[in-house]
Amino acid sequence: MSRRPRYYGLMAEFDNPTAIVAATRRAYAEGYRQMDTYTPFPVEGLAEELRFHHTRVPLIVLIGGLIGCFGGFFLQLWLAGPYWPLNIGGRPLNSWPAFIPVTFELTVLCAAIAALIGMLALNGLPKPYHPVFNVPRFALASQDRFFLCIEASDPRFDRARTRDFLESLSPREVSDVES
Amino acid sequence: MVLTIAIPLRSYYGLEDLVTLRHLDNCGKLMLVTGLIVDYGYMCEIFLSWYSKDEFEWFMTRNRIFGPYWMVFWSVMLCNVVATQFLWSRRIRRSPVALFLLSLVINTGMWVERYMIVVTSLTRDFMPSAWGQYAGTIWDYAVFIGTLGFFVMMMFLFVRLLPAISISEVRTLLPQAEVKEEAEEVVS
Repeated sequence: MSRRPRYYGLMAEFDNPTAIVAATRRAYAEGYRQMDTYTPFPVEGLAEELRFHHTRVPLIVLIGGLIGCFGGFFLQLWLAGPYWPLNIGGRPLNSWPAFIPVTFELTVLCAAIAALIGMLALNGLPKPYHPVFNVPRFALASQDRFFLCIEASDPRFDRARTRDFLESLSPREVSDVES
Repeated sequence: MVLTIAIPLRSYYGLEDLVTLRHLDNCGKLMLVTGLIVDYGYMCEIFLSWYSKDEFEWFMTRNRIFGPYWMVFWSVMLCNVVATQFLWSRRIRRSPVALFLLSLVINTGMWVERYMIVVTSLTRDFMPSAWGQYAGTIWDYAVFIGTLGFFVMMMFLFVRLLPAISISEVRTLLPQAEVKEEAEEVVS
C-alpha cells in the first residue's frame, strides 16, 4: 500500500481580516469555487464572499417538526383508541382537545432535536481530523492568522498556477496541504 | 424565567449590544405563544371536566374556581391568562422594564398554579373525613425563600465562573471583524 500522501490543496496565510476578505473575493472572481477560509473569529462578509449562505437546516427542522406534530397526535390517538381503550370518566376515546398540548410539545421537541442533529450531520462536526491540520502553522488559525485554502478538487486548480495566483495576493506564506 | 434573569444581567453588565431589543422582542413572542398554550390547557381542563359529566371531577373543578381557594384560582387566571395578553403589544415587548415586570408576574402565576394543583386536590379527597384546610406556616415559607436564595446563589456562581455569553459570538462584534468596506477598497 502506497504511503505517498494525497494532495488536498494550497493554503495562503494572511495576518489581518481585511486581507482575507479581499483575497477570497479575488479567488472567487478568478473562478475558484472549492475553497474555504479559516479565521480566529467570525469575519463579517466572509461567508458571502464564499457564497456560503444556503443551508438545508431549516428544511430539516420543518420535517422534524412535522414528524413530531403528526407522530405525537397519532400516538395519543392510537394509544387511547385502538391499542388500549380506557374509559376515563365516560369521555370519548378520541378526546382530541386534550391531545393538543402534548402534540405541540412533541413538535417543538422533535424540531429542536432535528435542528441539532441536522446541523451536526451537515457540518460534519465533531471532526477529529482534517487535512488542513497537516500544515504546522495552521494552529495559528485560532489565534491571529487568517487562512484561505483552495482545494485540489476545484476544476480550475493547477498546482503551479494556483500557487502563483495565491502568491500574487501578497500573503505571509503559501503552503501545500497534504491529506 | 429567562427574561427574569437576562434583563437585570443585561443592564448590570452592559450587554445591550449582545442581548438586543430584538432578542427581547422574540423572547416576548415566545412567552406569548407558550402563555396561550397554557391558557388552552386551562380551558381544556375545565371543558373536559364538564363534558365528562363525572360528578366528582366536576365538583373538583367548581371547588377550585368558587371554593375556599377561589383566590388562588383567580390569581392564576390574572397572572397567566390576563397578564400574558399584554405581550401582543410590540411596545411592551420592546420595553425591558415592562417585560421584566411581566416575567415576574408570570413566574408568580406559575408558582401559584402549582399551589393550586397540589393544595386544592389534597384538601378535598374522595373521603370527606380526609377533608381539611391548608395554609402555609412560617416554616413552609422559610424553606421556600431558602430555595429562592439557593437558586440565586447558583445563578451568581454561574455568571461569575462560566461564560454566560458565547465567546465566539462576542468576537463577531469586534471592530476587526467588520472589514467589508475596507476589503472593497483593497480589491478595487
